[in-house]
Amino acid sequence: MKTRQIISKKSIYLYLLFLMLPTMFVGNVSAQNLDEIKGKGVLRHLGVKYANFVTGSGDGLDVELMQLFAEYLGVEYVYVQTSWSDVIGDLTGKRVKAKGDDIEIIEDVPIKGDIIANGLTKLNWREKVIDYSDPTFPSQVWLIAKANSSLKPITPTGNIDEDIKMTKEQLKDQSVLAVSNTCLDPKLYQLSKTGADIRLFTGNLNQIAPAVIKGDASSSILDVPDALVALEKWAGEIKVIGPVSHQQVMGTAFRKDSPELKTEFKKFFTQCKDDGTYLRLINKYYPAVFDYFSEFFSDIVK
Amino acid sequence: MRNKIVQNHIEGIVSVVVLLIVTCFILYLIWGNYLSQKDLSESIKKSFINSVEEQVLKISQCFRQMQEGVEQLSKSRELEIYYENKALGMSLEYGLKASILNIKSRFNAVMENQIIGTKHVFEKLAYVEREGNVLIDPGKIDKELDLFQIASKSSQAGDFLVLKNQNNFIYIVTPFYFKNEHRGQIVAKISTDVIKQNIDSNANKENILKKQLFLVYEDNILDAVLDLSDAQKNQINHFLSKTMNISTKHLIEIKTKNKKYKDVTDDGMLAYKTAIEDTPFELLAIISKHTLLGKHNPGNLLFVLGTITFFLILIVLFSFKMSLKNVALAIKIKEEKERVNLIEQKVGERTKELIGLNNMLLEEIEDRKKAENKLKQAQAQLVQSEKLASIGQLAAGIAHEINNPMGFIGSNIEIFRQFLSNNKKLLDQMQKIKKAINVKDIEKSHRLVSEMNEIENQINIDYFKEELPELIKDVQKGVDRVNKIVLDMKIFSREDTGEIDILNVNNVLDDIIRITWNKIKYNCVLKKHYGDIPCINGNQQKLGQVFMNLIINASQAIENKGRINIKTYAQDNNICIEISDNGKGIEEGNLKKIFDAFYTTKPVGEGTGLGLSISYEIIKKHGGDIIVESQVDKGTTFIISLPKEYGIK
Repeated sequence: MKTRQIISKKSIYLYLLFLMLPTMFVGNVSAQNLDEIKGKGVLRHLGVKYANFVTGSGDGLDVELMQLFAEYLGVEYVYVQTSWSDVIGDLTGKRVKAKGDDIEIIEDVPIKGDIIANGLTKLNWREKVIDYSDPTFPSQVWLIAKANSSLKPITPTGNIDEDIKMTKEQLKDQSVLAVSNTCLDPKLYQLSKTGADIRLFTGNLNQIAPAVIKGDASSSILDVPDALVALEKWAGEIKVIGPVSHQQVMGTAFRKDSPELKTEFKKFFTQCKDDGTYLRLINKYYPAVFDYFSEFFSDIVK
Repeated sequence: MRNKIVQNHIEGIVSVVVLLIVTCFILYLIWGNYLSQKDLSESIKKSFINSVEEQVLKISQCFRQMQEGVEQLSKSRELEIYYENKALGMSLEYGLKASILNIKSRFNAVMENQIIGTKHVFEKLAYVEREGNVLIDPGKIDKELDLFQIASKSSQAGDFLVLKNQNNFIYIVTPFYFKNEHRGQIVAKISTDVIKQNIDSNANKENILKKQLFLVYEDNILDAVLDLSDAQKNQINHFLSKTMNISTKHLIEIKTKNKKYKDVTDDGMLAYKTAIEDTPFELLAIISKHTLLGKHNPGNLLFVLGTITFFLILIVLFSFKMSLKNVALAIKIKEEKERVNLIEQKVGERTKELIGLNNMLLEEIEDRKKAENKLKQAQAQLVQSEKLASIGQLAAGIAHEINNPMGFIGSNIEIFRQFLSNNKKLLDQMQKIKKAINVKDIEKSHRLVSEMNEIENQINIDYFKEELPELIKDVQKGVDRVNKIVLDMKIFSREDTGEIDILNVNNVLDDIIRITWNKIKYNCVLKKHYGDIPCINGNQQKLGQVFMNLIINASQAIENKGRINIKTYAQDNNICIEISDNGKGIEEGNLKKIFDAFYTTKPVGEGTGLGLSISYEIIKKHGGDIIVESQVDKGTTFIISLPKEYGIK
């Protein structure tokens, strides 16, 4: 929707293009393979402010991870702020649109970064345009609701499919916030089939819980990392109803023409897991996640 | 004397009394010191109590700090969130577990941050819901969980607990209320080490005190607040059990022999127990009296005081005894002094007498010396007389000896006179010839020459020319000989001055032989056998007198014709002079007397009887010896030995 608005408003587009011109001229817009990154001495980290992956305060799980990766490569770290809608294009130079598990390339855009790391959930359509690293973080999408909502938390059955079913059954005639082109894209979870009133949220993901509390919708789907933060921040004001997805994984994303960089990251990430660096970072930013996804972290928690 | 003895008695008693007064004064000072020490000990005890109370305040503060830490948890937002989420019906799997994790994080943060000294305050923190389930797992040990469950059931209002058989740990149980409803208990497990640490950090200057502190809970002793070895614990265990019944805030003294308190049996200890405010605990402080009071222990002072008193009494008694002894001794000394004075008086009188006698003796000695000097003078005169007598005996010989050269000197002078007379004739003839030649009367001159030749023939001028030098030489010899004899005589006859010269005895013998030669040459053949002897120190005149005596005696012992041998030689440390003759010898009976003064076998008028006696004395004074060997009709040998230690060769 946002893309459509930009294309239609040529004046705004031209204005934005004008703003991007200096950046293009200084050469920061070209694709870089590993040799070029090392040659120029800069690793450009594409990030979106999201949960504790990129906090917006200059730190976060993925910020620190990328800083360490740049150090590992022996280059300077540069953070490039982007958005969920632009993040793939900023990496690949192709603005795309998800169509189920497929994509539609909308246009070419300047490449702004070399690597995406901000809790990017591994989704089928995304894998069509980018390469993922090995999973770096687990996730799941829950349904949250305002505390006084009529929605009632399910009683876990021990069967995830049954739990998802029980959760979705409550969505009928309920308003639910979702974010397209992200892991909260309602299409990914066939929310439309539940009879829910799906409302696409255009703001930052961190603002979903407040929006629900405010009454923009009676509920929202929210990934677990964000839900944990929300439960802490707005305790007693929101509640978790149940899951709407199976467990998902997140990973770091690379252009498909950067296999060397991906390989190098794999080496680096393995080293981080082996030497305890990654465990330290998880403990710092998501200490609760081990209790939820203990199996995922079984290889680093010994 | 008696009065003096009485006076000495009084002095002794006075000194003893003074000593007693001094002793009393010292005792008074010591007693005063004892009282001050007693006060000081009370002060120290109070100080001890105060320090214990200070420690109690600190420990109380420590407990309060721990309690506040737990109370903070009871107001933690995380617990509220948990119950809020729970109230919303969230399941553990979907949301609620996160809340629990948040509580756990909070608890962990409190455990990490609450530190006293170097130790974490809380060993474990747990939250037990009222339903009994342990929400926050403090550990993986089931036994621990049971303990927490028990702890949580032990109190509803929050309390300090110590579980049986868990003396090392204190549990603080604090209730949690959610919306005014009791929902569970926060249980904090605290090691008593934390209390130790607290005291350690506050009691750096009270090391003695802090090692004596014990926590008491419901009349049970917890482990010593500070480290004690097992042996130490066993030693005091019995004592500790007996201190439980002491009243709080009372310092008790524990003795074995003098039991002030029935329930305690250990000796020399002080115990003080006081409550720790707002806790069920009491603090028991135990310290040995010696450690606390040290030198200010009145008991010790009493012992010291008693000992000093005992010794002071001993000193007084000893002094009294000594004073009595001193009185007796003083009397004795006095008597001795009087006796000594008497003796000194007598000695003085005797000394005066002795001085008088000594003066008389000195006068006698002086007289004796004068007499000796006179005697010496007389002896010297006698020696001189004897010497002159010897010369007298030699005088005829010496006169002859002088006369002989004088005879041929006179003869020769006559020849010289004839020579001069003849020579005058020749001179007169020569003057005539000179005149004739001057007037050139040749004929006359020839004639006069002829006459002169005749005169020369008449006076035998060649004879004179040859003999005259010899004649002059003989005259000179005669004059020298006379001079020598006169000189020897002069040397020999002069009065002795006692001078000591370096002498060659051989030369002295030659001089004497020369003087005596004319005396002995008519009946003696003298043979000299001089050895190579060193010079000696001696008086030439006196030794010459000895040799002259012996040579003359030898010549006189030879009645007709005989032989005198003079032999010198060195032997050992002496030089020896043997003067022997083959004369008539000396009878054996006379041999012992020959060196006696005035003994002589010569006819009256020929000898003084002093010759050999003087000779003997002279040789003795030279440190030598003279012996005689003689056989009648065979001869006599005198052997003189003189020391050569000062001899110069």
